[in-house]
Amino acid sequence: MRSMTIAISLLLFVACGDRDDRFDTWEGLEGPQVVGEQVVYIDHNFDEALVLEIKAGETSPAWERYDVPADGTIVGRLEQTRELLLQSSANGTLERFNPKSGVTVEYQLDAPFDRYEVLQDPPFVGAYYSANAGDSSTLFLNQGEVAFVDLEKSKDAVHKVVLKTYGGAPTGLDIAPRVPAPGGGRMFAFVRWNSFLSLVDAEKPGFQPISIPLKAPDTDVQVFPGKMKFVAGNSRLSAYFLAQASQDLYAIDLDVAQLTGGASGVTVNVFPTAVGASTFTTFSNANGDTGLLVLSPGSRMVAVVHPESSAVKLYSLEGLTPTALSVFTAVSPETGVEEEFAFIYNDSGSNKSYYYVELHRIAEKKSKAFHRYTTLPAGVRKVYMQGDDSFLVMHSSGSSPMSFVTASNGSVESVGGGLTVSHEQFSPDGNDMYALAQKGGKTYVVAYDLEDRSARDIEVTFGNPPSGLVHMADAGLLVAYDGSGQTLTVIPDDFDSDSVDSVVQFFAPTLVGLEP
Amino acid sequence: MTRTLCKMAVVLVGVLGISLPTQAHEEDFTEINVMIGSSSTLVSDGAFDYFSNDDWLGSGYLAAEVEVYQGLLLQLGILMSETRSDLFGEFDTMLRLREPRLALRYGYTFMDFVRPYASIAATYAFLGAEIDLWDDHVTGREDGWGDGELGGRISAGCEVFIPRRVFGSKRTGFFGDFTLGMALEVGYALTQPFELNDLQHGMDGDFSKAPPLTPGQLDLGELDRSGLFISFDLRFYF
Repeated sequence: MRSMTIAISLLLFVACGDRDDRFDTWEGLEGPQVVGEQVVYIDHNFDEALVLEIKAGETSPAWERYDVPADGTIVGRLEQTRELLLQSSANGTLERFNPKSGVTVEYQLDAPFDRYEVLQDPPFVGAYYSANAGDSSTLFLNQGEVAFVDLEKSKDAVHKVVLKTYGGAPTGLDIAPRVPAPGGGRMFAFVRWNSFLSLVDAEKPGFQPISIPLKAPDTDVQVFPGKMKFVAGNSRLSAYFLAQASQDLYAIDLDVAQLTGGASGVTVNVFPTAVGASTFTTFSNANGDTGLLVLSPGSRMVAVVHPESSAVKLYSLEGLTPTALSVFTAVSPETGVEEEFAFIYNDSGSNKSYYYVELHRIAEKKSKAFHRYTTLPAGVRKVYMQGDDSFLVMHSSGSSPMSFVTASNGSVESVGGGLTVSHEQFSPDGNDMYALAQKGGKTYVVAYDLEDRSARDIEVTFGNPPSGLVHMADAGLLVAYDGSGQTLTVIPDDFDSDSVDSVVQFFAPTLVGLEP
Repeated sequence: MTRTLCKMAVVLVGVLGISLPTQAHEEDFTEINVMIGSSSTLVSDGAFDYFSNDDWLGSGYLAAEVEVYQGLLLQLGILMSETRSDLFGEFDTMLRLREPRLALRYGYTFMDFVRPYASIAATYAFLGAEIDLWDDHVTGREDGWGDGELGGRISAGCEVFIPRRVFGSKRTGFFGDFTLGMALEVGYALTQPFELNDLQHGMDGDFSKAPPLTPGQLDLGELDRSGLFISFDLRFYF
């Protein structure tokens, strides 16, 4: 009896336990991220990914919790494979996480990189340090260190390079598409620094990185290179970029066959455009050569650059402060042949004009290839291409949230009066648009049939108003979420305006599947 | 605090166990007893962490018993508890327990004032849980009572009471055999798990401003309260 009592006493004494401290501290959720049919949160309280599988009409979602690396944060996603990329500074790893299967693939980078650039096709990642990288626990880091991860490889996927920093830190990284070349092609990347670029072969370990100094013509002003756009041809790669506080367009041509080391095979050209150049895009000329349109909002100019001939033509855009443009292919109403056109507009003000540009006719028509229309009912927030020369223009103000615009003739049909629309999502076939909408202090989810231009809406004001919307096309659902991610509102995408009871609202997904 | 108390109680059990007397003396009349006390159950199931920041479920209980055979008592009682906590400093939680029990207890009296005993009980518990979820505009709440869970308890303890002879031999009537005592008991409670998923999601708010949406349910698993327990009570003997 005595020994039993003593044993029970000891057992009770040992078993007196307090709750895990993590239940008393809030480290928050990261997300949600909608990946395929899964809604994914990273639960930083427990270093777990919480994956919800929500089905239409079901009030209790299936769930799984998967371990993720300590301090793992989402740095990107792979759209084709429906995976998330998580990085862990603590472990110095990059992890590919498939929410559907829970499978993870770890890439050992051995460095706490804080910036990641993700290429979708082929799936490729570049990692580097920003000027603010590291924290109090970081003893030393080399800001010239850059890593590339070929996500299609299961072995030797990580390729690391150490670059000369010249005392600075990278300001960006651009990975070029694979250049067709003998041996399966080559992948290059440019690391951007203040006043120079580092050209790196993202796959080939033996390639000596090339530093490309940048200097504004005729001055000693430092050049801060901006994000690049690439045109890849057979054994050739052209990289284009604008520089901060510069009116020049820079073009770097790589002759891949000659690029075996040293600077041979690299050509840098500078094309002066107009003061305040801030936006550009590439297009194909009628003869197949690359052309570039460079917008200068401050001077209301557009520069048309032909790198092959080094020709630069400036055109004045009367009545428009051009800040955005979209290049599209459509059948020319004049010739009946497919050509490239541009839609130039202002997406940051109340400007109601736009320009429709016949890109293949500029050489022939000169300024007459630029057609100005003043038919927009209000300022533009965003533009979506609808096919041919039809655009869906989202307005930043005015009585209608959006208009259907036929760029070539200026016709405009405005719809959806009275609502303030945001967070547009499109069905995979492009025929339906879903969005959040506000009116009279109430929040709605709206669905527009872009073919017959009819609309449906359903009120989702109850609870925390959503601040984001994602269309889960495979599941036939719309997922709206508030700023904290703590309220999820799930709506069937074929909702009726009267069927409020088909909308399910989840509070506190933090607690779902928690196993304290 | 709870942890300290439980450790003190554990030490007391050990001391009593070591110092049990060995001389026996049996009372010779039918007993009716009433007891009021508290009990702590060691709930190691992780789901209990929703409701408490330690593993102890504290309860109060009230019971009455009558001697049905020499030294054998039939007991009817109810155990009640209410424990509150919060998760992540965001969600207030509460667990309520109402557990009627029917027990048989057999004890053997030594020296007119010490009685070790063993007990077996059948229980039927009603559990209610509540998790309040914050929201800027409405309060979401997971709450509800379970259908009832069957359970059982087996325990051993020791009661100490004032010998009746201390009150003199001339007492008659209802208080003729009255005395006071206390008991310390340890045992194991086995219960069916409580389905936390049966909690219903409710919402409080101004529904006139916006139509309420269908509430989604949280998957919280189930709570198994089975575990060792220790209890202490005051006893009134009639």
